[in-house]
Amino acid sequence: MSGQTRKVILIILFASLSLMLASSISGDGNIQSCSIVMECPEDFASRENMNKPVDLKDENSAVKRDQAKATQSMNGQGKFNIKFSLDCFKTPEILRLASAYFTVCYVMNIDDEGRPGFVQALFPSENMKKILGGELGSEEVFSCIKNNWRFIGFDPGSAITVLLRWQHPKGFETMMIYSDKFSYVMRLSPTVYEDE
Amino acid sequence: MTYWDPNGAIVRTDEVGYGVIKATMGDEVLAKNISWNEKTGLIDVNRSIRTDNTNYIALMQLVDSPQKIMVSVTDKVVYADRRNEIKAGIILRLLEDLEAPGIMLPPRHGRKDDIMVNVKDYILCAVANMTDKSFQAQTLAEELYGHAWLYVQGLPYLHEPGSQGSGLDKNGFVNRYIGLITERKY
Repeated sequence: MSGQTRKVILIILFASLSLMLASSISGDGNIQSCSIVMECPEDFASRENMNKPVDLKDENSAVKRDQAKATQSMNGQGKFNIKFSLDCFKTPEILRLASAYFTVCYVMNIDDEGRPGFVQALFPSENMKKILGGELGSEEVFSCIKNNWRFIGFDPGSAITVLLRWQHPKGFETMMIYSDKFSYVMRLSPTVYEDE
Repeated sequence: MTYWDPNGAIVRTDEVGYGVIKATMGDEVLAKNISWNEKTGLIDVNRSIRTDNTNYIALMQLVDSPQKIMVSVTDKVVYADRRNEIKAGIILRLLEDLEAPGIMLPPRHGRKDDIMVNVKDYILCAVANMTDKSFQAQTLAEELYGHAWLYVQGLPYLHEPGSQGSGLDKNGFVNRYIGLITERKY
């Protein structure tokens, strides 16, 4: 198998593992604390089922059928519960002026309760770290992640990588979560629910 | 070298910037009513024309304003960070550092509450070199007729952050105002 073919297959596998869903967004467009539970059917361990659509439930077990149909990644334990909040992320001042589009990366290890223990922010360049690090790489943000984020269902000690994509003028628009057996992409764009 | 226009018309740029300013009109006829002086770099507009194009009207008002504005097509800008009392210029490579196609920086000695400012005493509206000329025009329109125009009018000009830090408040005055500019066709 050529390197290029392998690369294409890896990209396809990676894409098939990515999950898309809408997170809980309030009507005014602000992101609320969010909890997402994904339950896997018992026969879900095989790769053939990786792209089977499932209903994703929020913490109130309200099934969002239209918004949250998604493919499910392979999972030996059968259930993930991810909680996160961006409440204490402060918008860097430069983003109130610059039409910016960038990605910031947070790497962390979780304990046996799914709680992030060690958190580090990574920026694409030293200059970007200098510009955005004061807010996005602050102890306040790290504490927020440690206190408010949970990755239940992952192996203790797992390394989690979270990529947050900023898109002007919306703000953080996409959140990508990766571990060795898991990948998950969320769009954080506001969702308007009309009364039925 | 600084050029002063005796009539107070002080929107300045180079030939490349002139082309992008014309593109912000989204209207070829209107664009022909914008002139550029090659020697002084000054922009002027035909004031006798009647139009409801808000970008054209905003440009006319900016040209008539005594506040100096520089339009620049560039890959990097230099700013001072007042909040952290960093007086030395900080280089921001627009696309490389923030993937930012544009930025507006208020003048060095402008409003007291300005946080990030240009290192020189004029408003800088900078857009990056881009192949997508439509997006480039949209970006400059946001910087020039959005942020800079609001600044010159003495109005709030910074995007309002969301209350929970995850983004920008879409109900904020500046966000809504600039949103209308970016929604136009370029």
